[in-house]
Amino acid sequence: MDSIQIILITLILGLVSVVGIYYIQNFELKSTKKPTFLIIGNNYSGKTTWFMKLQGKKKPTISSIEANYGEIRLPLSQDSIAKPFQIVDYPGYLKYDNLFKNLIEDINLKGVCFVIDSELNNFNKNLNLIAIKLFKILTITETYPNGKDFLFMVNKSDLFNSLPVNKIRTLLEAEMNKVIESELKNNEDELSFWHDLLPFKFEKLNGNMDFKSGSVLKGKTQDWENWLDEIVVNPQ
Amino acid sequence: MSQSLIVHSPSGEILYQYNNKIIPFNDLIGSLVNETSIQLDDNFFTSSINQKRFYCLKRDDIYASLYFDIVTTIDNDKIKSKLQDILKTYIKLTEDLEEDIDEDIQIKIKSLIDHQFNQLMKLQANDDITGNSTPEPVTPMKTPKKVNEKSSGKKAMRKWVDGEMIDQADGVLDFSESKESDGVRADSQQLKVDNMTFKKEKDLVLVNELNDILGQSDDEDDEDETPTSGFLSKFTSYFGSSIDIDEVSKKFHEQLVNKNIAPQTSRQIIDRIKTKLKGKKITLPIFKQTLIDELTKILSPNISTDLLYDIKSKSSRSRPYVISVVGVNGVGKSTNLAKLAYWFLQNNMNVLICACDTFRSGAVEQLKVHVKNLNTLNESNQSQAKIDIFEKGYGGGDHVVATAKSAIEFGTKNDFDVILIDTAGRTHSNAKLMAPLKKFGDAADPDKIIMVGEALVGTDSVEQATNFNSAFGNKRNLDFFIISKVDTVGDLVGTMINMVMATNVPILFMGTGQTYTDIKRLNVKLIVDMLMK
Ligand SMILES: Nc1nc2c(ncn2[C@@H]2O[C@H](COP(=O)(O)OP(=O)(O)OP(=O)(O)O)[C@@H](O)[C@H]2O)c(=O)[nH]1
Ligand SMILES: [Mg+2]
Repeated sequence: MDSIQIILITLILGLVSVVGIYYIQNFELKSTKKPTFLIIGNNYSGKTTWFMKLQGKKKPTISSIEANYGEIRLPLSQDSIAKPFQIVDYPGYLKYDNLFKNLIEDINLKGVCFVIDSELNNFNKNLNLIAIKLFKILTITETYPNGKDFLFMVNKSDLFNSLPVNKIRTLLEAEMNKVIESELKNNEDELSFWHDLLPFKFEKLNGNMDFKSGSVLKGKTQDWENWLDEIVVNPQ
Repeated sequence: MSQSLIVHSPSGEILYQYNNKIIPFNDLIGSLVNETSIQLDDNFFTSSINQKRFYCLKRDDIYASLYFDIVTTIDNDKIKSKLQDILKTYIKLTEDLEEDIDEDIQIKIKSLIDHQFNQLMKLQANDDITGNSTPEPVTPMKTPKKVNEKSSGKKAMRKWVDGEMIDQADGVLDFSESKESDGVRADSQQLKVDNMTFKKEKDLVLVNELNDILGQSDDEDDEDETPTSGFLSKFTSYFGSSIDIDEVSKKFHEQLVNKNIAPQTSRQIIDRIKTKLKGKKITLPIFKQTLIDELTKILSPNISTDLLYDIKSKSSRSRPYVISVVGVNGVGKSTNLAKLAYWFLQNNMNVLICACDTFRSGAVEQLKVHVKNLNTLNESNQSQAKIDIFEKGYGGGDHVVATAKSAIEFGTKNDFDVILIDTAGRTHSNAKLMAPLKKFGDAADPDKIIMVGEALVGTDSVEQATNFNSAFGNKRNLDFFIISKVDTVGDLVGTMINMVMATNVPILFMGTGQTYTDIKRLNVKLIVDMLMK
């Protein structure tokens, strides 16, 4: 080996390690390659409580300021074949909604848990904001070949004035119709595909949309766990 | 009276709580996220919501937050230093531990922090006792019966300790209740008894331990990073290794200022980035991404900006939806008002334009021309909706308020959906011209007040936005901005950041040209891309 070769090899080795360090530093928290489930929904719906439950924790919570990144092994029902998955709990604030796009482009998204507070007053008060959030995220996920699968976690079914899952689905569908119509008035190119989805029905979307009720607090989460397992075991 | 304290992580996990009254803290978090809280000091925030005064201190990645129900008389510095002690206590006790904190430590944390919070509460209760460095006499917030018995005793110094003991027993009881949400009464009773015996010996130990912890030197002080300088750091920065944060800050600050962001606003943004990245390894891509995220957050509205939706949802009222448009002279108020009118017409709404610029000669005629044009356009679109103008000529004094009131009356009778009120342009720094806005706002009680601001303005936009935002009294703010003439500034769109940062009022539309359809919804990503270019 002459000296030029040695210098070259040293340089290349140096470069490789520097780039390697860069990736390690950058993605300590969020992993780009790991298959990920995203937990989203409006404030106070129960996302963080669910995020912690999935990791076997039970603690009181208050509203989240930052996203939570965690790891679980799926399928839950069969540990012998389980593999690691990333879960991301994304705070409900409207102010953060424009950051979805960066996030989704950064991860390998397997499915979305959209958590809804089914308590009558909260639901009615937030219905428009829920639909707007859903509209924004679907605008991103529906551009993928088969869309992305959603689980609508109709949470807090333990409360006496919790709305039933069918009612929530119907109301949300009607509200989505309004939001879509009003958004389409802005004439933005990336929204134009929504024209074909009017009048809006969840079945018209590319991704599968499942609505399941339950309660994180009272441990009624079997349907939701099954949904996760199903996606992991039988990917489309 | 009610007060509470929590220690929590940014992800929403509550690590310590004083009692069960934690729901109000959601309001505090909202104000932190939406930047409506007041920053008193580095990482120290306050805000007042629903008769509660909140304080929040952040250190590393942990927050300590508390609130009082009443107007507190304790000064900010005392609260800050107590919150500092509390965070220090929590961090010291947990720093060497893995994920799970065992029961013993939990209880210790609980009693040590309870103790400190109670001390703070005593400052509140005994505000008139000042300049006294000896421990204050017992006045626990929640007085268990036993305290009264003991406080009649002679041992002044011990009495204080005893008082604390009882207080702590109370705290520990709270803890057990909150942990087992179904709180079995008998259980907690038993716990209380246990704790009482436990405390007899342990209490003094705890107080001593607390002094130990708070006496320890603090890592926070000697946190200053020493950036690797010289050739190597320059070289490696290309590949994403550590960079000199001051250098990079300066570079981005210059870029933002070049985009027409006011220097003080830009500094504020860069400072936020620095605080966020403090103690973390910083690379150029990380710094840049954090800045992109921050700008995105600043421009993203924290309320729904779907105006059509809001109008429809209020259509059952007898009164039409009233929007008034305000701003400095010459920014394009009337033009943008006309654009709004056209947008409403296209959405099948009956629009009444009210000429409340009764000051500048020609203002009414100018609006008439717009209405005439819009009528022509509207007919050619074969629209069902109608547009009309309401005016009462020119005049000073109460003429403006009178005109607005009769317009609303007229609009109600004649089946209009929306009333757009034009107001006289005024200089934001002239108090005499700004004062009538409050009276106008109170009388017309608009559903939305929209300020039109010009993209061309630059640094002065901060003050313009601030003054107009406060012109309507302390119960009413601006609701939206329309930023006009965006087509004339290329990618120098910094004015948007200036106005939004100064007021937390979101941008509804951008004016992008001379025709009635040249009004676009704010596209946050597009604007951020322009700023970062
Ligand atoms: N009754 C009932 N309450 C629940 C349930 N799940 C969660 N909660 C409560 O709902 C509140 C909000 O839960 P979080 O998990 O903090 O809400 P979040 O969705 O993370 O909210 P943000 O972080 O603000 O976006 C907490 O007080 C929970 O205890 C449930 O199944 N039933
Ligand atoms: Mg949360």
